[in-house]
Amino acid sequence: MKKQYRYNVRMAWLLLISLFTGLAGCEKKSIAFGENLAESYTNIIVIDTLTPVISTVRSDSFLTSNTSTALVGNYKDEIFGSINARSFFQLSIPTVIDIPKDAIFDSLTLRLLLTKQYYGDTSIPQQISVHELSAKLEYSEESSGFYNTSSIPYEAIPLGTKEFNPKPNKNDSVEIRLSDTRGQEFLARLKDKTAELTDQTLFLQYFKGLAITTSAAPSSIIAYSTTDSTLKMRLYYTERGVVFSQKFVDFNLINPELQFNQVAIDRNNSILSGVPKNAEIPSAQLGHASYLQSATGVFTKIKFPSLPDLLQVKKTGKILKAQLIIKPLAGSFSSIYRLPPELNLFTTDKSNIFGSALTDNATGTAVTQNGNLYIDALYGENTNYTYDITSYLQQQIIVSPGLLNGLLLYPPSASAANTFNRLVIGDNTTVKSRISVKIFFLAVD
Amino acid sequence: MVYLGFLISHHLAAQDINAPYSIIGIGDIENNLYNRSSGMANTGISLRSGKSLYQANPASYSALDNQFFNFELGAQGEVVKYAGTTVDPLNNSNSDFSIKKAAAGFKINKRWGTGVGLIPFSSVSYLFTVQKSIDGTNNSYQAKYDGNGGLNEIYWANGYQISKHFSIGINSSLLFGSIKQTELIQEETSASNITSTKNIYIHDFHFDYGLQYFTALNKKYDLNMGFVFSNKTSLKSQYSLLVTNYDGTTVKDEVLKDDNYTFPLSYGAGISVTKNKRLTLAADYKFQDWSSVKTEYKNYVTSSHRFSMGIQYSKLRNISNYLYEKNYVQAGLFFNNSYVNINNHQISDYGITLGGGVPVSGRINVNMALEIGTRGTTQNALIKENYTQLTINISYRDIWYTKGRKFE
Repeated sequence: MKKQYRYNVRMAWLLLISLFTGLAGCEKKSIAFGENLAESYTNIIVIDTLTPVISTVRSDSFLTSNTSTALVGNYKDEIFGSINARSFFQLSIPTVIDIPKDAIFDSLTLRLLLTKQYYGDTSIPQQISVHELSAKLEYSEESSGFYNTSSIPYEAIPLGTKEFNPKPNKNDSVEIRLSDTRGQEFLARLKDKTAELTDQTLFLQYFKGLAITTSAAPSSIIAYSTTDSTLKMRLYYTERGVVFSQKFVDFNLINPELQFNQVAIDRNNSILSGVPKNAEIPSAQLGHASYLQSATGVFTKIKFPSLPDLLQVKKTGKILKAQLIIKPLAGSFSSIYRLPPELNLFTTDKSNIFGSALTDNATGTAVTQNGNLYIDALYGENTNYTYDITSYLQQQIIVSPGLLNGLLLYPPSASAANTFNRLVIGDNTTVKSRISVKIFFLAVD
Repeated sequence: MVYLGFLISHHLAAQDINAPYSIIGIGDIENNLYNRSSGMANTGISLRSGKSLYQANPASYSALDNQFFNFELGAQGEVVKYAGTTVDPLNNSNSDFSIKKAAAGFKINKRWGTGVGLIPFSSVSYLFTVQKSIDGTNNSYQAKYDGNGGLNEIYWANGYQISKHFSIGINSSLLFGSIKQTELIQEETSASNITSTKNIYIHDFHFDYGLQYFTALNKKYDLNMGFVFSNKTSLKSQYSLLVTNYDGTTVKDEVLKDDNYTFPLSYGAGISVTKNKRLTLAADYKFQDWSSVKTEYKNYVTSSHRFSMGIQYSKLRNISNYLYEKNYVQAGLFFNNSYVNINNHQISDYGITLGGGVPVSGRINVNMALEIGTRGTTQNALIKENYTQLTINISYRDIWYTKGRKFE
């Protein structure tokens, strides 16, 4: 009896202890008290004294072939000079069909589809000419593409010309009437199914390709699509019968890798005149500004030479967040001289070779930063590109000052060669709308 | 015992209860002794016992039974409910269970009793989040502060009976521990999180002295009086700071300074009257002179006063003219004006206790105490804690042998 009682008491204790141990393991609650009592050795401050040093770099030449875009037009501004763009390409033979001997030639035209990309003043009429190439369209020795400086000879007398108002926001396509003589010749050979018009190789010897050029007063540069046979030469003819019926055959663009744009740049009388190739020209020598126009090979390099000094002052700490804010120089952009919609920041070295574009990893996946261009439509003053350069600066801190490298500002590589959109950036002497860095720095006392 | 061993290793690690005021000074100073006096609101300066270790006064060790050694373990479970303007009423409670104390004591000779033990001296545990603004911007960032740690005490107590009515004692302790504040700065992305841990490592010796007077007033009544005292003590402390990135890489790791924490002069007095060896009424008063070291704690401290009283009834059995205790019940109450002083408001706590104890076997006794109390206030943007604590003290005593013969 006594034993049983003792056993019961023992079990009761054990139960009670087990019950109370059940209280354990509960997470500490956060109680909002002590804000003024906590001793903090860290302090987040904003540093806006890191001065970006900007310079303009002009590249020697750049690839312009196989960009899916034909650039034609001329344009002039006081900064970048006169720019004249021509496009070169080859055409294919049409699908072989039976054309009656008595078919009548109507017309030969070149049909161009606008990509809606343009630059310059499109209110000024543009005159374009279509020339037949007089030499074979092929890469020069030791190169694997065409450059902005490349050119292929073409017949002086055009196959056709047209003066028109491009109105790229309104019109979808442009059709240029070409030489009737050449058209009739094509039709005759198509009827006979001659070798030059049934064999592609022979055709390219017979008809080497076309160049679209422009002359006359500076107006605008218009981009035409060269993908999926959007660019074509069309031959219209009429078949006789009970009822006359109009028919056509198409000579589509072929070998898109050989299609290229020649961009002739005349820097005379422009701000950039005298800027040597592949040199970094500090903003102080170019009106306290740096310049960017990728389609003419001009880009901006941004460096942070005062970064080591800055960190010396702040001794211990960490860059939590660093933001690069680029405000285009006031008055340097307008509805005609539009800003590049997207600009990437590429890592680089002393020789200005493009490295990888800075990415934003906020969402977990690396997304290339394109500057998130914000257009301040009301006042223009707050128009800006912004970049998160946190990881870049964090990485620059740990390299020795002699190895500090800059960043190159440039459009995404896919569109760079076709982007005439320009950007002018004022350096730190500019009162308003300049380039600046905002660093959130965690300083440890 | 294996179970308890597991719990010790599991729960000494961290305290899960938020004690908002423990951000001040050395944290919440422990008033619970986790011994038999817990049920009497820890009133024990004048108490002495042959079977229980009353470490409130080292002079009491001279009363330990000859021949025996004692071993005690103390543990506590606690539930706290918070109230205050900043407390979410739907999410306002915390609970915890942890082993708090281990102690042993035995008699060296008829006059001299000694004991050793490990007990918390103070504890730090808080957690809160603040939005801090960045000067010159509209931006703010979130900082989370997590306080942990506290001081532990390893003591060696000695009590010596100098005459028929007097005993004296000294408690020599090593206070050691670290007070840690972890600041976590949370940015938009976890990749910019920064953790800075300020660690104050404290260790030093601390002594307190005790005196007890005990006499039989007449056949029915016994009277005990006790007095304890400790001098102002400087506790060596070392401040270090470790700042790390989210990935564990170090931003800064250095010893900031060597300094001292001052534990002030303190004293206490107690009196108890026992009727027929069964009914005991006891009262204590304790004082700590924090006002004299106020500036060292940035004026967040003030002198503390604690008053407590308890009553105990023991059921005794007379076996061959020797009184054995069958079991006991206790009750107590206390009022404590603590050393924490915020916004010119001294944080006080008060509460009641109930206790009791029974032998579980011939050697093991279980003492339990329930304390229900309130600390702080909801006024002045302060926090009020309503808490319930259950203290369990398990004592084990056995005959102490030495050299093959009974120690007489």
